[in-house]
Amino acid sequence: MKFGKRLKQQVQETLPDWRDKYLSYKELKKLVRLISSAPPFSYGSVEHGMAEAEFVRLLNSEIEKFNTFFMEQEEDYIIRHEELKQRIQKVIDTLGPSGSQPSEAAYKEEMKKIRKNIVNFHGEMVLLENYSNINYTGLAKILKKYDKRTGGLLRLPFIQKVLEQPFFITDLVSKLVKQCEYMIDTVFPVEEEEIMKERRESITVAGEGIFRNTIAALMTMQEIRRGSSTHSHFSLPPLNLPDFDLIQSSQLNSPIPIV
Amino acid sequence: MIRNLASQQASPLSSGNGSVGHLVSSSSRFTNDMNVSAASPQGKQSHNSSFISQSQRGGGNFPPTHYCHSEGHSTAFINHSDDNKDLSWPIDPLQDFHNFVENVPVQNGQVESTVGVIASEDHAKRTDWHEWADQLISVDDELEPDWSEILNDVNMKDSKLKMLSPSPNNSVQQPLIHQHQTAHSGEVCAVTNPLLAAPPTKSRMRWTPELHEAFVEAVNQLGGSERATPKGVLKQMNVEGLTIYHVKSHLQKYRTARYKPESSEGTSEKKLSPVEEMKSLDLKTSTGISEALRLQMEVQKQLHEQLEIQRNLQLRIEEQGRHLQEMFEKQRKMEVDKSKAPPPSQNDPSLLQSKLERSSANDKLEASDLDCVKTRFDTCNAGGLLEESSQSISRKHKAPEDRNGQVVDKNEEETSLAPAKRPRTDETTALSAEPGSD
Repeated sequence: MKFGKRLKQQVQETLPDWRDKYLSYKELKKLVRLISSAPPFSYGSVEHGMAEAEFVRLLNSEIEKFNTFFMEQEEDYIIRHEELKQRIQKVIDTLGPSGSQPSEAAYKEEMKKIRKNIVNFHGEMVLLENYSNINYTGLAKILKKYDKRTGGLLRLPFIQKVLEQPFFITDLVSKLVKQCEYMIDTVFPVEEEEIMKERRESITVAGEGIFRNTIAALMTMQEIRRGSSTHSHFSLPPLNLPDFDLIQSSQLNSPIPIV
Repeated sequence: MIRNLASQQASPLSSGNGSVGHLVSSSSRFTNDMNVSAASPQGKQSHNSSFISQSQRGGGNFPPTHYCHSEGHSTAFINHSDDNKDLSWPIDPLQDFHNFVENVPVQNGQVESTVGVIASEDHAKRTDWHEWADQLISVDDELEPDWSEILNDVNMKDSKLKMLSPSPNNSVQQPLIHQHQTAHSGEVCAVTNPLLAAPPTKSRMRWTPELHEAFVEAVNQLGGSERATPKGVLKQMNVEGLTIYHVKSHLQKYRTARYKPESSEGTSEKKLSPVEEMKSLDLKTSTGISEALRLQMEVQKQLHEQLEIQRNLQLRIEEQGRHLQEMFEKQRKMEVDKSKAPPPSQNDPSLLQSKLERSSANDKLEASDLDCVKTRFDTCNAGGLLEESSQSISRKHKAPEDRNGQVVDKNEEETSLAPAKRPRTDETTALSAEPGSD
């Protein structure tokens, strides 16, 4: 029950285009209930069979949905990543100190924009990883429910197949994320005086949508792993976030000045 | 559905319109097959080769060089569907085909959704002639220039007539052969969902940076993103399994990315309202932005890290579960074969066996040994996080625990294991030595 709510929250908070791409957890739960209530033999056998078939069909179609969406996004990210790199190079080559039309002001201006773009791009990719993970978690949970309610043995083989699905194999996105982090660290080293100035000024949160999403995702992750009544050895240990207070205070509704 | 197609192909090639008409009229089925074949060249290799060999037997109307010209065969196909009274299609094939091209809006999204729609099992029956036609048409926007290309091509001349006149198997086989023919090495993997019992859905190309690089190179060689055509790029890239659909959609994405460079929030973001945006810009000093961005970056980094850890843990848990399941099955088999009191010949089976005596349910077996995974994972996890978490488990859970990281829950599965806890300490190390589990 708790996961269903958490998932719903996540879906509400997520990037708008992604809303209908998440797991239809509720639907699947209904089916499990249907299967377990209709007896497999004698009078209920037809309903039971139908519900079961529908369950498997829905599972498969959901997985297909994840795969399609994930790979679509991944493709986008590959393209955008390359374009970002090109753009940085171009700015360095034209506006940079050793460029064709060096201009410190313009260079700084452009670089600022690029930095923002990188951060948001990074965020979006991380959110895709989160998308993948939360859907996996949902699948694992619903399969566990199925096995428990119906005494079936669907979970183990099915989850094995899920682990091989494209949407779960997030290696490439992860690599792109790390490359972004590297990009930010090398192209935009933090300067001392900047840090000093920042401390004295009030600022608004930039990149509202993605940032908010990321916070929400972290919080949700923690909630989900808080440990439920059915905590078993297949469950993950609770999540302990290092900067929990900071994160919690960052959970904002609208642009609020952070002092 | 594929079986039907195959059996139809087996019938004499010279039966002309009859068999062809049959093939075409079952447009829904055929379309599905066409997509299926287009979709998974690897999966359907056998079919492809049988089609190819048949076409050769059928008189070799199409020398191999033709196979790459998709528009050629599309037209041929449409032409020949003219003969089929099931379809309401204009009589003058070429003329009206061009008209149709101009009139039908070509949208990439439409193509993809159409293909998706067509290919999925449930929607196969609803496949429309129009949808399928759209798909063919959007295969190549630049139809006209390519026609002249075809007409001028010497090799094509003799078969041009044959292309335009009904030639059942060849046109039917074109799409399939097209896939087969682009036989060059590349990093393409057409992904099909192994879970589906139904025919595989459209092949989703999983792009990689290397493949994209090849794409960009091809585009640049063809004069840039605006001038390059999907067909040209496809040819230039020379990658096996890559279809024009893949290239077309990728090209579209590429063009969008170039001419709408990374906006501040990304394309799928909800934008701040103009007023808010201005306000925040005023408030932000140049350095102010940096702090917010840095904070954002930090949080994102953290989420990423957590996700990685979580994912790895999930993988390991399931891996271990599967491994244990396999061992369990093996053990079962051994017991069935042997007499009732099997002497323990090795260390491991005996350990398993003793466990069997204590808990019969498979879950319990898996559950108990998964503790080992977690313990090992905890100890070898470089980030302090997981160790922290397991310590917090010890603090939070009221259930009795054996040692750090090993928690016995109130879960009913656990109760029978309680007495087994201590002896298991030895088993942990023994099982750790198992091959396959690292």
